[in-house]
Amino acid sequence: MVFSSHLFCFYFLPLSLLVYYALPRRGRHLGLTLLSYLFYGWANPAFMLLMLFSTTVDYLCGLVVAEARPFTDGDPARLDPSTVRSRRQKLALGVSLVSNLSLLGFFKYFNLAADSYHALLAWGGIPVTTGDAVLRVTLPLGISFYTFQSMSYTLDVYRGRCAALRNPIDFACYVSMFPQLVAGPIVRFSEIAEQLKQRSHTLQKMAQGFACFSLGMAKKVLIANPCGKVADLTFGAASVESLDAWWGALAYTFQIYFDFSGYSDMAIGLGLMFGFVLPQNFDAPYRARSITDFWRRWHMSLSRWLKDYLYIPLGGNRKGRGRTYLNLMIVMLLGGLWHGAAWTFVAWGAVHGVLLAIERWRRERRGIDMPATGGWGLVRWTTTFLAVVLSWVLFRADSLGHAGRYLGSMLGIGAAGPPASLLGGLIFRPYYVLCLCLAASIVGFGHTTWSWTEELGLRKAGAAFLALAVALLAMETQGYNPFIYFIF
Amino acid sequence: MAKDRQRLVGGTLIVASLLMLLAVPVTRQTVAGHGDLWQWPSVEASRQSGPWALNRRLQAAIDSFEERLESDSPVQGWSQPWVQYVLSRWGGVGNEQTYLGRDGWLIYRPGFDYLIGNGFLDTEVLTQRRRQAPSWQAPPQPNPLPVLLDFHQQIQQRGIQLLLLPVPSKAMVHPEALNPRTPLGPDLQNPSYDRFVERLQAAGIEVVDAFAVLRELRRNQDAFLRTDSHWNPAAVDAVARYLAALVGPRLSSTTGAWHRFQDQNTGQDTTAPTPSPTGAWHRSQDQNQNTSLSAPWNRHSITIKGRGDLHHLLGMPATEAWQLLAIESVKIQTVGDSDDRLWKADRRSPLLLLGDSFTNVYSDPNLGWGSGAGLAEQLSYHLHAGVDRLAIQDGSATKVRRRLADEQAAGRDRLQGKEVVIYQFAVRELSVGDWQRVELTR
Repeated sequence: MVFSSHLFCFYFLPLSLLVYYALPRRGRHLGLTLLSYLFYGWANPAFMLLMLFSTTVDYLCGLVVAEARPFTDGDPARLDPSTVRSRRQKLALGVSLVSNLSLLGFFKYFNLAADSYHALLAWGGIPVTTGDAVLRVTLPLGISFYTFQSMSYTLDVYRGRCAALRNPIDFACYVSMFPQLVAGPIVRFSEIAEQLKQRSHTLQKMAQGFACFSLGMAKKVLIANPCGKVADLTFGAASVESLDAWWGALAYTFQIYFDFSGYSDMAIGLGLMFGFVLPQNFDAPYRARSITDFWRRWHMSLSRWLKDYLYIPLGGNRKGRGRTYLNLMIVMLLGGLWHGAAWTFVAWGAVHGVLLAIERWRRERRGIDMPATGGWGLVRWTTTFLAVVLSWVLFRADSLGHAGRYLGSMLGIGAAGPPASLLGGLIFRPYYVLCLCLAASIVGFGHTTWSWTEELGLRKAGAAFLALAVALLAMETQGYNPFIYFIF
Repeated sequence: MAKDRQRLVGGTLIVASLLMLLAVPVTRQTVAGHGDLWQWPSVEASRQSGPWALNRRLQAAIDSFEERLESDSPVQGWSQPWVQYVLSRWGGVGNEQTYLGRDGWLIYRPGFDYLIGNGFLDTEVLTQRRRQAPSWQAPPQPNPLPVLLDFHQQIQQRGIQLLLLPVPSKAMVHPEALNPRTPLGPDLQNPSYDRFVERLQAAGIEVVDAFAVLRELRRNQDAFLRTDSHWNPAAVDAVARYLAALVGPRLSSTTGAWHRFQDQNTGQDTTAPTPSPTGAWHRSQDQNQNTSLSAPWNRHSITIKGRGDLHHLLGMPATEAWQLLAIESVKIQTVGDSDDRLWKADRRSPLLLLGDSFTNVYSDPNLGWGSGAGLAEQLSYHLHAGVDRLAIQDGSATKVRRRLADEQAAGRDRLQGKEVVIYQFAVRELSVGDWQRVELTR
């Protein structure tokens, strides 16, 4: 089930709100958990068992780490960060990490490993049967998101950042909460621990939630979808002319932002409707003046997760210049691989890793950063945006070969076949041009949903309602409604 | 005061939004009633045991439930045509099935995707297509080559020749509908097509170049209907004439009649395409051979007006005043015998035409363009002989061969006495069709 669907908007959401607010406070987490399992199992009922398994393991490991027992009164105390952990605690943390990473590794990367192995054999001239004939693993929805969240729980408890949860329902609610289950924001346990114990349900939160949801829906359905149509046409073509290729890459650049940030806005809005304040996930990333700045603004919850649980444990920037660059590369390569099980994502991560390392090297060499305003600011914005657009080609392409050909088309390398000239007849239609222009103006000058919904006046509320109405109308009448991050 | 005002605004937004969300299920309940939304689908017997099979069935049921819930929505039914009107009128776009071309042309998306997309025989494409199937369905068999080679082998064993007739898609024949600067030419083709033909020809299968015939026809006139995915009557006639020239001399019982008829009608053949490069068309051959066939078929012109299947797929408002596309008018040539009885498939004919809606259009009245004037009828007319026909809408990849096998299994051997089988399919099927092997019993 995706948020921008008939079933979710007109049935599941009203039903969830009704169930949640009809229940007494003590039963709300159980209600929300059951609704979340229904939401999750809708795509594939068997995957509910997988999430239940992951939740159970991490719940028990959390208790062992906190040296607490289940089903007794009161939450365990927070561990002292300065004390040394026992073998038992270390073992429990290890079990949690290994089980989560094994789940992720098997379900997400088995196919890639098998395909790469077969490709290697074929390259060496050894005949192989296709991977499909042996075993094909179906990717469980949102596994990358909930395993990361679940791991953050045991890690945060281990580090003494927060206390473990004794109530398994509260923990199951945290892991499975449907607003952010399949596409984030990735909520670290320490960010939400207090809210799981106590949070307010106010009219203002609810109204903000509806406004956030409405704008997110409008971003997804009214802007991301038409941009996606243009991107699909150009990236789906066997060959493409240079101008069309740039137009398609730009369309994808806007599609991925409005799709993902729209979905994040909807998730944040839904969280607010149930009283949760989820972290901001996007902060106008295409206005970034450097790649470093871009990663402070793009998928912020993932960046924070990778920084806290990967970059800093690797040593961060405390172990010398060379090691810092290496750590940056490792984080970005793994970050790329986290996005998808394909070499294109690894390449995308590598490109960003190299750019981050170069920026850091330049900054350290000069001592100061170049100005981010005026003429220099424009130059920096242009080069950053260009680098981001070009790197999205790697992210969108079906294979490295496809990415190479597409980038070649953008740069005018290689002749496009005669059918390619027909594409221009479709992708520059007034509707698409209007949508891309609208997307560009919002990206360049618009408020973020986060800041726009902080204070809701009559005009803003009216605009949010209108946005929801138009988006629902478009959703109902347009068949094309993909969601990019749904498959990650 | 300001806080009260904010509460009022917030409360109004919540209530208004909730009312809007609830209006849809309430309307549905009022208009469409409860309905039977949840249905357990039947799954293949081989996939029915154990918890995984149950899970697959559950997934299939969930999927069809959600689909039914959406398609039954009265709000969707009311609003869709008007939203589409706005998008098409001012935005210049169609929908998921139909692209809006220039000058009132509509393009069927799978046909366009075939032309513009990657090679249908590319390993990556084949793998992706296999993997795209939902987990509760058997994956498709996307590669047409082994299936066609197998089919050829099966009918060759019975001494029957196979001719393949891939019908080009509209975007290939009318590129100007999308871009007036794109020249019409043989290179408007999927990257895998040449390899596909080479492989078939190497195995002794003849592939009819209908694209060349239609390009030739395009020198003087259109070859497709503007608002329909199918070819126009002139194109059907041109291809039928070409096929008759190709096949006629090979059929033992019609050879003489065909030449005699061609001789009689030479004066009428003003739109005839040029002979194929293989030199299969030789009008001057042996005109004196005798035959016992009946009198020639007659043709009568009938004008049919309407809008085609693509217009229907576009889903514009039904009101005439809100139509963006003009009504099309076509002149079909119905074929009948000397007693004015409409043409019928002749099971005793040595020629069997297998096909899809390209065969059925102008023959099956359900397609909206009249009857008695389809490809089989025109082929009969030009051959001056009966033709047997088996055609299923949207089913040329597998269904039509399966029907052939089913008929055989039921004791009606449609291949009995056949000398040539023409297998017509839309060329787009090469990149979207599910090409399953079908075993023909003897």
